[in-house]
Amino acid sequence: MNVTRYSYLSILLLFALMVAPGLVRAQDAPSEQVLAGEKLYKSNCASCHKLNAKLIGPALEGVEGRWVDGAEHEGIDGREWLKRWIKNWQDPVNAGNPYAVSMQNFDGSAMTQFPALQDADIENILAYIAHGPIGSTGPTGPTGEVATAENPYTAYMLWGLLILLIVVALVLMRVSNLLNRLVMEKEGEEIPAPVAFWKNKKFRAALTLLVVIYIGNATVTGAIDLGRQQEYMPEQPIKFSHELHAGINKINCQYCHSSAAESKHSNIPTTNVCMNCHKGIKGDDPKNGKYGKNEISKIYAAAGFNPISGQYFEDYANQDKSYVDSIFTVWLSDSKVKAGKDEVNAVLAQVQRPVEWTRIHNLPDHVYFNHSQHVTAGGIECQTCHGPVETMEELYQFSPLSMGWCINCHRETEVKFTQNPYYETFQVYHERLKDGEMKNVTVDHIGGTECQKCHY
Amino acid sequence: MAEQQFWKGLDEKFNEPEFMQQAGKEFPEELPGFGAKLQQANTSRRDFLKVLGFSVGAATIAAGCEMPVRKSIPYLVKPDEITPGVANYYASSYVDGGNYCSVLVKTREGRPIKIEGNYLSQITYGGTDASAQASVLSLYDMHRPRGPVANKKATNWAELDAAVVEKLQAIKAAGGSIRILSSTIISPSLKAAIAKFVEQFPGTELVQYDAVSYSGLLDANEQSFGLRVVPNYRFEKAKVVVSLGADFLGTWISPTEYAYNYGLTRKVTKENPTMSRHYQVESYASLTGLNADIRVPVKPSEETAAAITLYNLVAAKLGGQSISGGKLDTAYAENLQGAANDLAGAKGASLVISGSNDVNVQLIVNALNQMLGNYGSTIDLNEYSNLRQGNDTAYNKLVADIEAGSVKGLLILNSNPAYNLPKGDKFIDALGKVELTVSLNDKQTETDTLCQYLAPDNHYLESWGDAEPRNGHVSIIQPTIDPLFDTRSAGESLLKFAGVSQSYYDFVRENWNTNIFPKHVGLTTFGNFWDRSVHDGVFNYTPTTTVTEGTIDVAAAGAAALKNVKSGGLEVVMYEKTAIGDGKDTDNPWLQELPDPVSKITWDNYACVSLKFAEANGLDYTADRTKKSYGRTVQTIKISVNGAEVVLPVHIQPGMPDNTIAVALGYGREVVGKAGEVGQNVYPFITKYNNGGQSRYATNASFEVTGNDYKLGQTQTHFSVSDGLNQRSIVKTTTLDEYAHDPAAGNHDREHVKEHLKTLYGYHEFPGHKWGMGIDLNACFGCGACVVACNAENNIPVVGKKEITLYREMHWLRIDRYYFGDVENPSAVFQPMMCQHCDNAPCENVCPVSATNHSTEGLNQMAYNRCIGTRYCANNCPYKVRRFNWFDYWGADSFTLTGALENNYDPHEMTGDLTRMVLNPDVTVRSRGVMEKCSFCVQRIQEGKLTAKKQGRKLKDGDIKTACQSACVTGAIVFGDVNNPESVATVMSDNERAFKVIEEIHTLPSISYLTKVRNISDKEQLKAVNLLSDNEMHPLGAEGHSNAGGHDAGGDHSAPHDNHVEEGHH
Repeated sequence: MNVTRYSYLSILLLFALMVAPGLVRAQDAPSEQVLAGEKLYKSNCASCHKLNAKLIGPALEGVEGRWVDGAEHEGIDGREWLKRWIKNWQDPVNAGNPYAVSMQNFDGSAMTQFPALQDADIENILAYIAHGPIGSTGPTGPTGEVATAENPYTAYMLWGLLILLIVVALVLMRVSNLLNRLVMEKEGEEIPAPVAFWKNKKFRAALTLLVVIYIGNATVTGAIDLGRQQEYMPEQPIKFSHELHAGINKINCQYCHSSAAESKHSNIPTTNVCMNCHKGIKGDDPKNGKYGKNEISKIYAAAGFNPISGQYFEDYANQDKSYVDSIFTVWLSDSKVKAGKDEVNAVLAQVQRPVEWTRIHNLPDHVYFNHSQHVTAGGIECQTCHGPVETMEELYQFSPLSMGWCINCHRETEVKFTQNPYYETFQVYHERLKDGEMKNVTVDHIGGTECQKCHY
Repeated sequence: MAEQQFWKGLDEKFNEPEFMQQAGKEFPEELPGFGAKLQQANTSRRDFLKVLGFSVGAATIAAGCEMPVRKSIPYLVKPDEITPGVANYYASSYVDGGNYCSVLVKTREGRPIKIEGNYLSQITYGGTDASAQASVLSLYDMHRPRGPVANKKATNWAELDAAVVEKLQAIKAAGGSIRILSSTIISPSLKAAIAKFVEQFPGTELVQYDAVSYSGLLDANEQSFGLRVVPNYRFEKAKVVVSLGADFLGTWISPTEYAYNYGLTRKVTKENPTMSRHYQVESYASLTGLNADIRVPVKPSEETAAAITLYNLVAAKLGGQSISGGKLDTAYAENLQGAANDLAGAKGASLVISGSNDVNVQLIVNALNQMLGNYGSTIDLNEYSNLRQGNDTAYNKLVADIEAGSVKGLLILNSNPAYNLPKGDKFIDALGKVELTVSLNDKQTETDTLCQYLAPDNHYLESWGDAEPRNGHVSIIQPTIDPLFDTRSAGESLLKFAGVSQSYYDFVRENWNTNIFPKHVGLTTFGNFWDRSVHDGVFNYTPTTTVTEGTIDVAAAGAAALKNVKSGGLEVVMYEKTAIGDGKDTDNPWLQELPDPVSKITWDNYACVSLKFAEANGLDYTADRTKKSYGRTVQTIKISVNGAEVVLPVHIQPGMPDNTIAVALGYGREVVGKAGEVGQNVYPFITKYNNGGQSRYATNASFEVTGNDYKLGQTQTHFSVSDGLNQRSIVKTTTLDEYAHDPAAGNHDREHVKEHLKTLYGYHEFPGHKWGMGIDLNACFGCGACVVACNAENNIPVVGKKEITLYREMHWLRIDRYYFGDVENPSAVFQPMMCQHCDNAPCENVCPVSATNHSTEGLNQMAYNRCIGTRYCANNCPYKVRRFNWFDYWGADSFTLTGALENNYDPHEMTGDLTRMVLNPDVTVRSRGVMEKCSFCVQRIQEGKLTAKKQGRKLKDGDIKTACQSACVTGAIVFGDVNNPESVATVMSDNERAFKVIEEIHTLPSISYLTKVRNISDKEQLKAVNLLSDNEMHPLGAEGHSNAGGHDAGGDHSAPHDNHVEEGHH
C-alpha cells in the first residue's frame, strides 16, 4: 500500500519536472526596466549589435557575464568597467584594462561613444539584453530555432526544489518502510526481503508509462510543429529595418508592399520602389552611422545607380563589373563614413545582381492564401497577422501561420455584412439579423472555415 | 440478356455477363503489376517490420532537418502590367497552317498557362477547340528545336543567314529557280514578307499544299465562280444541312466556327420548337455523323454516287438537268429521298457540303447549291474563307520540277512532306537534286532531317504576326513570352534572307499601316488603330469580292466524277481525328490522351471495321472475353494497299459501312517528340484522282489477321453504371415533333421519380450562393475542347496509355458517348460527365476522414491533404467521376530510371522543369495516394467572388465561368448561382427538358441536363435509322441488324420512339 503511495508521489514529481519549464515561461513578462532598455537599445545599439549574432560589433547576449568574469581590474569590478566602456570605450582602454584592450578593435572597427547615457540607462539596456527581444520568447537564431531565455535563477530554484522534494520523498519512503517493518516484526509476521524501490514493479510500470506519455507528447507536438516557423528571423542580404521605415518614418506598409491590396501575394518591393526615396537618401551622413550607407549601397549596386554621379549606369547589365566595382569602392571609402573591407565586399557582391531576400512567411503549397481578400475585402490591418512590424528592427514571423490559428480568426472575425453590397446575396442571414436570431455574421458563417476556401 | 437501348460499347449492348460484372467494379480487384510479385515475395514478417522500422527511422531523421530556406527575388524594375499573383490576358491568334482560333492567352508572372477563346471574334465567337487549348503545352515542349542548324551542326543565326544568303545569291546568279513550299498561309504579313523575298529573288514561287488536301473544293469554286477559295458557309441560316462526308463539327476546314453556327440551329425552346435537320452521308463513323439526325453510311467509293443521286433527286423535284448513271443503291439509300425532299422544301435556306477532294464531286455539289439558291444566303463568297489554299496540281508540278532538276532552292515552311507523302511519291528521292534546302518549321519533322539548314520558327505564343482567316476578318498574333529557345519567326527569317533588316514586328506593323489601316473608319491615327487591334486581337471590315457566277456543266462533272471512282474489294478510308488532325501536333500529350470522341480510344490509331465484317473475318469483339486482363485486347491485322503495308489493331466501330476499313491519319511519326511515337502512318495509303488530286481512300486492299494481340487504351467501357442503362435515367432523348406538342416529352418519369424521394440525412442550407450547372445535350457535339481546357486549368496529369489500359485515366471531365439505334448505323448522345456536386452525396457519407464534404455553396469539396486514399468515395460514386492518384504523376514517381527499374508513369515527359511551367499556380498539384475530381473550378469561383467583394457589388451572373464552359463554342455548358432566380443555370434547371442523371437514387446533383431533341419525325425516317421502340427491337442473334421487314407495317407507334428510359418503371 505504502509503496503505491510513493509511486503516486513519484508520478507527481515527474509531472512537476515536465511542466516546470513551461511554468517558468508563462511567468515571464518584461518589466518596465526591460521595456525602457529596449527603447534605448534600439535607438543606440541596434545599428551595430545584434543580441545573438555578430553584426559590426559582437553579439551582446551574455555581455554582462563576460565583463564580470573577465574584466575586473584595479579592484573595480567588471560591471563597472562595462558601464565606463559603453560611455566612452577609450576610458577603460587608457586605464589599461586588458579585456577592454582586447576588445578595442573588434573585427576591425571601433565602437561609437555614448557619453550621453546615464548609469540608469545602461542598467536598463543591460536588463533588456539579459531579457532578450520582446514579442518573442527569446532571441532566435538565423535558422529559426528558439533559444530559451528564461531567468536562469528561477529555473535553478525550481530544479533545486524538485531535487529537494525527491530527496524528501525518498527519505519518507525509507522511514515508512522502516516503520512498516517494525510493525511487522512486532506482530510476528514474516518480513519480506527488502526490495529497492527502483526494483518495484509498480514503480517501473508507472515510470514506463510516464516515459511513453512524455515521448508520445513530444512526438506529436514536434510533428505538428514540423514546417512551422513562428519567430523565424533569418539574416537578410540587406539589413533593412522595418522599425526605421514603418515605425519612425511612418511609411505606409502598402507603399512598398503594393500588391497586397490587389493580389494573392504581397510583393517584396522591387528595387525601383526603394530607389524612389533612396535616390536622395544615401545614408552618407555620418550622424546616422555607417550602417545605412553600406546597406543602401547594396540597393544601388543591384539597381545600377551610381551614387557619386547621382545617375543610373548606362546599360547596366552589360557594364564592365570592374568599373562598377571601382565606383562603389570609391563611394564607400569616402572620408565621411568609411566602410570596412567586409562591408565593401558585401556591396560589391550585389553588383549587377538582384537582391535575394530570404522568405520569412512560407505557407505549404496546398494552402491558398490571398492577401487582397484580407486587406481589401476584409479590411484587416497588416499587424493582425504580421505583428508589430513597425517595432521590428529585424523582421521575424510573428504568427504561427498554423491552420488552427487561421480557423480561430475566421470564427471570431465579423465580416462587413451590411457595409459591402456583395453580402446582399445572403438574404437568409439578413433576415435572421433583423429577427435577432443571429447577433453577427462571422467569416465562419459565410463558409470561411470550409476546406475548399483555402485548399484547392 | 436484354439488348440495351443505349450503349457505350458492343459488350454493353449485348450485355455480356463477364463484361457487365467487370464494369461494376470501380477498381479491378487484383492490383495489376503488384499482385503476382507480392505473392512470390519471400520477405518474412520480421524482415518487413525491420525494413519498415528502418525506413520510418530514416524518414524521421531526414524530415527532422530544418525547413529549406526559400528565396524571394523581386524584380529590379517591375513591369507596370505585371503584379505577381494576378493573371494577365493578351489577345492573340492560334494559327497552325489552316487551323485558326482567336484566343486570349492567360499569363501569370509572364508565362502563358491557359488559352481562352476571344469573344470579340466573329469567327470563333469565344470558343476554342482541343488543339487550341492544348497549344500552350506545346510551347513548353522540350523537343522543340533549340536553335539554327547548318548541315546537322548547331550554328548561330548570323552564320546561318550568311550561308543561306550566299547560296541563294549563287542560285540567283546562275538563273536557278527557288520555291517556297508551305502549308496554307493565312497571314497577310507573312505573304508580304514572301513578296519581299520574291522581289529579291525574282521567279521564286510559293507552293501551298495541305497534308489533308481541299484542293478539289478550291478548284471547283475556281471553275464555278472564278475564285479559288473556300466560301463562307453560313450554317446558322441553314434549315437543312446535307453533308456528304464533311466532318464539319470535327475536322472539316473550320469546325469551331461551324459548330457555333450549327449549334444555333440545334438549340430549341418551347417558344420556338424548330431546329435544323441534318443528314450525313459518310464512309466512317465521324463525330458529325453521330450527331446527325439521319445518317447514311456508304462505302468511300459510293460517296460520288451519293452526290449524283442526291443531285438527281433534287433536280427531279426542282426541274433541273440530271446526271446519268451512278445511282446509289444501298440499304440506307432511300434516306437520300428524304434529304432531297427537305432540301427542295428549304430553297435558299439549305446547305449541301462535301468532304470529297474530287473536283468533280465538288462541282456537282456547287451545282446542287446553285439549284437550291443557296449562294448569297447560306453560302457567302464575298467574305470567303482563307483557311485552305493548298493546291495539289501545284504540288505535283513542284515535285516534277524538282525531279527535272530545275528547282535549285527550296524553303520549307510549316509543312512536313517527308511524312505525309503517299506511297510512290518522288519528293524524298528528288530532294537530293536541290542545291539549297532550308526548313523553317517550328517543330522537328521528318522533312527537317533531309534539309541542309534549319531555321526554326518561334511558337505562335512567342511571335508577332497576323492572320486573315476570312476575307475582311484580320487578327493579330502577339507574343506573350520571349522565345524560350534560340528560334526566330519565319517571317523574320524570310526578311533576313531577302536582305531586309527590319524586325518582323516592325514589318507587320508597317504592313498593317499600309494595307489594313486604310480599310478602317473611325480612328485617326494608325497608332491608336494598332493599339486597339492588338488589344482586341481582331479587326473586321466589309470586303468587296467580284464573283463571276458561271454555269456548271454537271453532266460533264458527273461523268468525270464517275471515272474517278475506283471500286471493288475491300476499301480503306483515311480520316482525321478531331484532336490529332493531320499529325502536326501528334506529340502533344494532352491531345493524345484526349479520348477520340467516337471510339473513346487514346494514344493510338486503329483499323475501324463494322461488326459484320469482324464477325465474318474472325475479328469478333468476343475475342476480348477470353483475355482476362485489363484494358481492351484486340487482334491486329496487316493491311496492304498499293504495296504499302501497315499492321494495325482492329476496333469494331458501330456505324462503319460494310467491307470498309477506316484508319486515322496523323500517327506513326518518326521524328517527333516522345508522345508522338504512337500508331502507324497511313499516309502511304493515299492515292490520286485522275487529275492528280489527293484521294483519301483506296480500294482493292487486302488484309490478313496476324494472330497477335494488342491492347488499346480505351476509356468509357469501364466506369459504367453496370445494372443496365435503361433502368436508369442517364440520358434522355425525344423528337422534335413530340417536343413541340409537349415540352416535357421524354422527361415524364422525372415527376414520378421526384414524388418518392426522401433522405434519412438532413438537407444542407445554402445561405448565400449555390453553384449549379446546366448542360444542353442538344448543343454538345462531343468535340472535347472542354476536356483539354479542364486539363490545363486544373493541372490534371497525363498518365499515358499503359495506365489507361489499367483504368486509371485522370480526366475530371469526360464526355460519355451513348450510342443508340442500330449497330450498323447508330446515332449517339454526347454527355459531358463530371462531378455532379450532389447535395446528398454518396461519397461524402463514406469518407472515414471527412476529406470530402459539402460546402455552404453546394460544392462537394475535396481536401487533398486530408485524404488518406481509402477510395471508398470512388466506389460509392454512382457517376464514376472520382479519380485516384495511383502515382505522383507530375513528380517524384516519374523519375526516369534505367534498366529493370525503369518506371512507366511518365512516358511522355510531362515532369520536366520546362513542361511543368504550364501548371496553374492557383491549383494544387496532387500527390500520390489521394482522390481528386471536378471542383467546379473552385479557384475561379473564389476569384470571381473576391473581385465582386473588392468592388463592393453583388456577384453578377456570368462573372464566374468554369474552364469547360468558357472553352465550349456552342455554349452547351452554363454555370451560375441557382439561388439567383435569374441566372442562366437556374433558367436551365427550370426547363421542362431538364433532368438530373440517375436522380431516382436521390443524390440531388447540381448539374441539370437538357433532354436531347432529335429532328426526326415521320415513320419512314424512323424505319431507316432503325429507331424503333423497345417492343420492336431485335432480340440478340436476330438475322442482321438492317431494317428487315416487319417494323414499318402497322407496328404500334403510339410511343414509337420514346427513347427515354422509363422501362424500369413500367
